[in-house]
Amino acid sequence: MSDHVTAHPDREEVLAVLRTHLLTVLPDLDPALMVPERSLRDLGANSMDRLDVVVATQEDFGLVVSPGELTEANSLAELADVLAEHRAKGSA
Amino acid sequence: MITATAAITPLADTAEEFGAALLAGRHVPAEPPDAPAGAAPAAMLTGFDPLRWAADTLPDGPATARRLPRLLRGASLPTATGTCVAARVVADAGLPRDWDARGALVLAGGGLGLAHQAEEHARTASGRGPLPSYALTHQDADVLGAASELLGARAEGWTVGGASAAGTLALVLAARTIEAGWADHCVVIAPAAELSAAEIAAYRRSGAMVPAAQQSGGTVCRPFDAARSGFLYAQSAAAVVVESAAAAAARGRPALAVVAGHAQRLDGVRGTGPDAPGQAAVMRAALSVAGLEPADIGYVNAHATGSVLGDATEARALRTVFDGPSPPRVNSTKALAGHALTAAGLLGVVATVAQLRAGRLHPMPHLSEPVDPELGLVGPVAEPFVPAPALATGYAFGGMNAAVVLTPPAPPARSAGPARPSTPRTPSEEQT
Repeated sequence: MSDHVTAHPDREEVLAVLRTHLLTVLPDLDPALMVPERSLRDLGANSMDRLDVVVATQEDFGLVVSPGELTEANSLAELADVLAEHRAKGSA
Repeated sequence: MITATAAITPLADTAEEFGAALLAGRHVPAEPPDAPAGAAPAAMLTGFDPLRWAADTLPDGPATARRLPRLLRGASLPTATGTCVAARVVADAGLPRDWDARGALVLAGGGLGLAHQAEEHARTASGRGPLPSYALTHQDADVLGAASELLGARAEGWTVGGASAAGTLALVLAARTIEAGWADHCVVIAPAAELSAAEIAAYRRSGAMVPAAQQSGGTVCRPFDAARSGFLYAQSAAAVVVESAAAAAARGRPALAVVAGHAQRLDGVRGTGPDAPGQAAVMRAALSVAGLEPADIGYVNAHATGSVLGDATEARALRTVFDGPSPPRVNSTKALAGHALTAAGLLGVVATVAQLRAGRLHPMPHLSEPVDPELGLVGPVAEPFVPAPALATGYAFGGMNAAVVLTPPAPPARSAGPARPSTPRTPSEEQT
């Protein structure tokens, strides 16, 4: 899964924001564990935690992505790509 | 019977310290040093840190503290304080963390996290927020969820609303749940209620709350005094464990007090005004359940908040019920602890248990001109008290009245054998 065929050019920028919000939600999480291959669920975020992380990240980028579009994104990398793609489309 | 009590107040972090503070006549600080001029006087739990509290006051503090960051993520003050006091009473009562099917949670609520709600309203209005988790965190049910997860409680859990009578009402429901045989033990939880600026302003404008401080000595609450000017809002949480005599005996736990009577009455009137007949009716009903006469009561933990109309009305109701030659002694814990709103009734019960056990009644330091000199009010000095049945009351806007009779525990039987397991029994024979 980590070898996402086409990593979005803004992936790292979005990942950084996702990581920040994940640490807000799970302050006791070891930051070293937040590698792109891991999913929010793997890292211990429950459904309420995952929603808060994703919505807070969207707020930072001024995005509104339907929850349905995000269900396919499992890893942090995939999640970042979907959000980055939306951002690119929005600014185009 | 009550086998454990807990409190988190601006005066103290445990029920023991709280009882000692009351008997010493210490009262909550009304204004933080950095309060803006003209701010409503209040005693807040600002800076309450559940992790530090758990580490300092729970027997298994470090282990519980490790679970709290995730358990209480995004939680309001009511959820944090309610979960903490629940953990403390369960530890003190010697109940196992993995709750059995005979344990229940009863929450005193009804609009607990109003400041939390106001913050999210403001964030939403500003275009950021709310977080999805606010769908959960604005609800009183979030306290029950967090407490049940920490305690491993999977049997019954109830939320009892009732404004300032909620704490007393929650204890009434818990006692009845045990008497009816639906549970062997109940954890009654009264979280700290947090008001937003709007509720504080409304209470002030209604005349129920003390006005902004005018004097340099700080604002004080003067229940039953001619110079009273309203209640002092104080954020506090309380909890008690109530259980059947058999359940307590099975774990070898002594009773701190017995809930011998319990009652609720409505005034049948919408509004904020107190009603002496409703208050008299609920006190008589609680006495009747306990099988006691007014003359048997030695002490009343009054609701009295320091409100101008409320205290005068309550004084009349007390004189109506206790019209014999030796009326009970009366004080209001709000004279020292302020008014904890939904938690106030249960905090009064914690105070009553502490006074029964200490054999002393706490003072009302600012009582100098009693509203009724015949009322048996405890003045500025603590009094000795020969333990006797006590009455604790909670009254509320909406015409809600609640009362419980608390009696000192019976002396232990000399040859009490091990208690039988608690299954089938006659509810009416159970004393809670």
